[in-house]
Amino acid sequence: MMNLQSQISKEEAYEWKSKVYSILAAYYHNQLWNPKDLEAVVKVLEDYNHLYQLKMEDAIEVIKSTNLRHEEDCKFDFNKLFIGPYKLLAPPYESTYLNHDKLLMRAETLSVRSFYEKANIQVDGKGQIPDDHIALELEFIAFLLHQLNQENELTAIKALLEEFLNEHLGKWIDEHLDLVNKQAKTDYCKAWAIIIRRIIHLDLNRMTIS
Amino acid sequence: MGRKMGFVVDSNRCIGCHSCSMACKNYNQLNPDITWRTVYDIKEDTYGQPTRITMSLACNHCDIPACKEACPTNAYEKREDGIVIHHEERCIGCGMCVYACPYNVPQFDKEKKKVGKCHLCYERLDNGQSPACVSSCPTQAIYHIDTTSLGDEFAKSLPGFPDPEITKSTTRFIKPSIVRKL
Amino acid sequence: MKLKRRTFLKGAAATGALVGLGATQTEFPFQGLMKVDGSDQTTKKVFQNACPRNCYDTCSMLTTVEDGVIQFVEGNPQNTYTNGTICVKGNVYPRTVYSPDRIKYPMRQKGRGSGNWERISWDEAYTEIAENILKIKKEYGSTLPICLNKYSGNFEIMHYGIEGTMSSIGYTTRATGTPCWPAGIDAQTFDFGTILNSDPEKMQKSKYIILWGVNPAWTAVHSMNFIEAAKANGAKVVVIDPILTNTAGKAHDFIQIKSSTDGALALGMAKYILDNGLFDQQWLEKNSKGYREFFGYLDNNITLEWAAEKTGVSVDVIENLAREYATTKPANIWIGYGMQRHTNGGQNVRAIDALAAITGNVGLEGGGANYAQLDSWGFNYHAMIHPPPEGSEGEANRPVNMNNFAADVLAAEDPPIKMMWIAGRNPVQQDPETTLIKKAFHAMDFVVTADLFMNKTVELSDIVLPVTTPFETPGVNVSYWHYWMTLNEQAIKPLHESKSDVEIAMGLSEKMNELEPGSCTYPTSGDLNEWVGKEFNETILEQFGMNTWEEIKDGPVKMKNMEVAWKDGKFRTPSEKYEFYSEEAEQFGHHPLPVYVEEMKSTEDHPYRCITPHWKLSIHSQFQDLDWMEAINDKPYVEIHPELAARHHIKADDLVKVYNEIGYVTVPAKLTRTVQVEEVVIYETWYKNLNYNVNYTVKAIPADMGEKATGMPGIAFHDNFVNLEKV
Repeated sequence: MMNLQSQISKEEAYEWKSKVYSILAAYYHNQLWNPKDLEAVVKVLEDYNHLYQLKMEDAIEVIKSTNLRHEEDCKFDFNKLFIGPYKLLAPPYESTYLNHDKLLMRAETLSVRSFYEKANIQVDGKGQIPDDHIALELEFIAFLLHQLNQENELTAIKALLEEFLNEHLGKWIDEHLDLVNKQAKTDYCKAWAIIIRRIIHLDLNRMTIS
Repeated sequence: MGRKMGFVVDSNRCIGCHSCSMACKNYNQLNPDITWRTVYDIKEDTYGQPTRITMSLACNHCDIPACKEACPTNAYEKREDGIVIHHEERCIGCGMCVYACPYNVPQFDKEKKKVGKCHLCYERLDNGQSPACVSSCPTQAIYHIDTTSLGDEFAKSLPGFPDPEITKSTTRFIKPSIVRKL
Repeated sequence: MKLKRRTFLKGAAATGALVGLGATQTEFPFQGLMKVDGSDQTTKKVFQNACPRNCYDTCSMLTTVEDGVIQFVEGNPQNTYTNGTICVKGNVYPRTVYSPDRIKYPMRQKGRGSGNWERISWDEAYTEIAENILKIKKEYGSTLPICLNKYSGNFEIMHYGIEGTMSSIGYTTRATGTPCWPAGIDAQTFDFGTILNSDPEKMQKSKYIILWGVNPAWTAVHSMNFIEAAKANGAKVVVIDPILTNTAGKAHDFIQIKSSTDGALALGMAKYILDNGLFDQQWLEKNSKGYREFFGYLDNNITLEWAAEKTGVSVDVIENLAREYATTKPANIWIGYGMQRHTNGGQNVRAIDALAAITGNVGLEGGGANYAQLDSWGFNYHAMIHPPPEGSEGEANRPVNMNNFAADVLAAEDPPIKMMWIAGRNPVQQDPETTLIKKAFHAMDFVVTADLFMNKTVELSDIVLPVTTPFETPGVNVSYWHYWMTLNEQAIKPLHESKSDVEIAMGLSEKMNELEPGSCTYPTSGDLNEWVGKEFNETILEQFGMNTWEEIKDGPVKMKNMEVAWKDGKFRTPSEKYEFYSEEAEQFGHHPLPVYVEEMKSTEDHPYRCITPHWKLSIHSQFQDLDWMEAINDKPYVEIHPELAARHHIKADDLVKVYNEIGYVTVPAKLTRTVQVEEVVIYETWYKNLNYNVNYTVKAIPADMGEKATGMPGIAFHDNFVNLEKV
């Protein structure tokens, strides 16, 4: 395991992670439905799995083997979980897990907003789209990882990244994915839940991104 | 003699609309299944002639608060002005107060694993505002007052309300007048 | 093993545009985030809002917003009717706005009723809708196969933009009429010339108040203050109702009347007043037409014994009530909407109006026969009024009866109805004859629904459009009961991708004109705050004592000189007098006088009347489904008198099947002596997780009146007869 990881530089590792989180964000942004895109994404995930020994090859296989005929079911399943128009089976918003009100735009959402602001980032559509939508939280992590390769203030960015992972996404991701696992009707959505959990846990468990 | 801040519930004016209960939940940000103020239908044949009347109840801010007596961690405080406050940070969620209170006032929050109850919006009072329930009532059927000043025209109980003498409830009632069915 | 770095990069390149998987980039490929310089200052601001729901009270609200998020909503004390408080429903508004269950994006259902929805962009939604409209227009030569069903979900003035959408594409079919109150409107139109009530705040000047078939403790909570104030001033309050309501619980006297016989009670009272010379001859001479004919009718046709037998109210009680009412001035009658939802409802309202007229209570401060008003609604309806495109086929919109919607839609020919647009309504839940309604929906080629939450109607739609709450779009609103006007400010940005009806109209217009230039006349852009200003005209400004419309930004304003309806004695009837004898009524097929029309009777198979009144925690299908409401009440029940329950061996909480020839509901029994033995009560409501709808048993029986003023008769909701069976 260490051997594999030692083959790439720190910079390359950040780059990989940033891209992997971008993939997860794209999944929740409802943008990963093109078979060609999926094919490419699968390759990245396979390599990442290999690199970190995440034991998610079965889940990746499910995504790989999902053919177009089933795609519609997957999409409908995805929509029931995260999009609507019914009551969401697995709401993709932090505040619906961490706030007792189970509403949107709560204190947690505003806390996420202030994290974004620390990195001079805001939601495109601020005030309309809750800042703590999972796609945005994942995108923010991808962005910070990307910054690790671009900027000099590494320590500050790393600290922000760690804090965000542990204070926000890490606090609710399991409950969310448990719900997905319980409510999803398709193996496809369940497989993604496994992949997302493994990828995030990798960074949560280590407590540091390095 | 110290002050005894408490509620007056005017069942003559209460229309059972639940606005008080919702405003309380809004202000105190309570879980959907928790209510610190509840609107009760008074049993329809209580006064002989069947009728529909209601009363709105929250904490009775008792003189001898059973919750406070029962609490093993001193989470309850009886303020100088009579308001009984529950300090969540000291609560271990044992539920002793829930069993002790004859009025079922303390509510166990399954998510927080702690108890909570009406604190007469003391921080609003300290700011010169009314409690959320009082200021939201469309018919002015609830108000807060130093109940030591109230005379015998205010009842200490209504039918269905547990014996107020055990814990010396400070809630006072204006009795409902009963409609005459012709 | 060697890492296949090239594979990664190759794969990454393929999805590069999508998620930025390309080779190392210096620019991060943002999806939903963006870079900014610095952050906004924390702001706290209070906005004015106007509750737009179908409710007497139309509260003036104040909304506190911090960091672009609503903190709480409370009453605006500047409005002396709502007096700084809002009702239970208003208190849960933040839970509507920020519910994770709101419809967030335009969506398309693959297979109506399948539950398989896909998210689409607004552009896709507009395109699909526009293409369907244009296809229908091409196939049928007109837009008449397109049917709009919009009503009381949102009465705010800018929301008439939805009617504007339809007008701007050509002549369409419109669900016409109003389910709830038209029989009473026509009745008062025949008598007075229109509906017009005195300022309800003046109720406190009354010395005698009759609340007739109205339950303000549940449906107009703020009015209870003025009733209490009148009581404190020594007034007597009498409630006449088939149910001992929470309002009745606040009265001095309660008279439990057999449903639908209110006219008989009023005529019995009138007869007593006539026989005992308690009428106001002077007023009648000066202000009325046909009172002699009315008195002749009373003399020849009405006895107190008959009235007592009809109503179930004893002669003594009728005499006493009549004497008290006629001799205590001023005496106010509030006529509720519940009592006119009958096949003789309009006639019954006319009989009650007549009581107020013969006793000289019309035009008196603290008096009157108060039903509703529309005088404060004189806006421009700028959002609504748009011409059809040039060369549109046809001459006018085609009405179908909103109150017999399903049957009318299915029966429409030349051309048939092929597309429905639903806004501010939930017909699959709220209309009578649910089974037939579903059939009508399934007969459509295309159904578009604009709504906030998933409901039974959205379930049967092809496209759903997410709409704004009152806090997310500007507007202005007035009440049909009090005389306050309140500005509705946009307090927060619209959540998710929701849009207001006017924005939807603009977007659709742009798309239609792109696909077929000239096919839609609706403006494609405009500042909605400016559009609010366009709703005002000289007359309405004068009525409300404003110089410019912007003055409404300082707080709610009240229409002037509405303290006492008909004080000037200028009635709006053809004779300009109060008409006991109405030729107009005759033209619409009614007796010209307020006579008694037989009430609908139960049958052997369905021996019990089932009344389905409004519920305190909801307005139709709005609010009751929110979690805080369900925490108070999470299941329906049927109220049954213990005597009737015993007849069917029903005990408290037993499940009871309430059925008739068109359907049934199964609900737990609540035994209560506050209802009558031969009448059961089920409140019209719905619950998020229950498949319950009382309208499965409610037939679309027309009330007697409504055609003149609203185009269609109302629905006799309370002429519903059922049988019971313990499950």
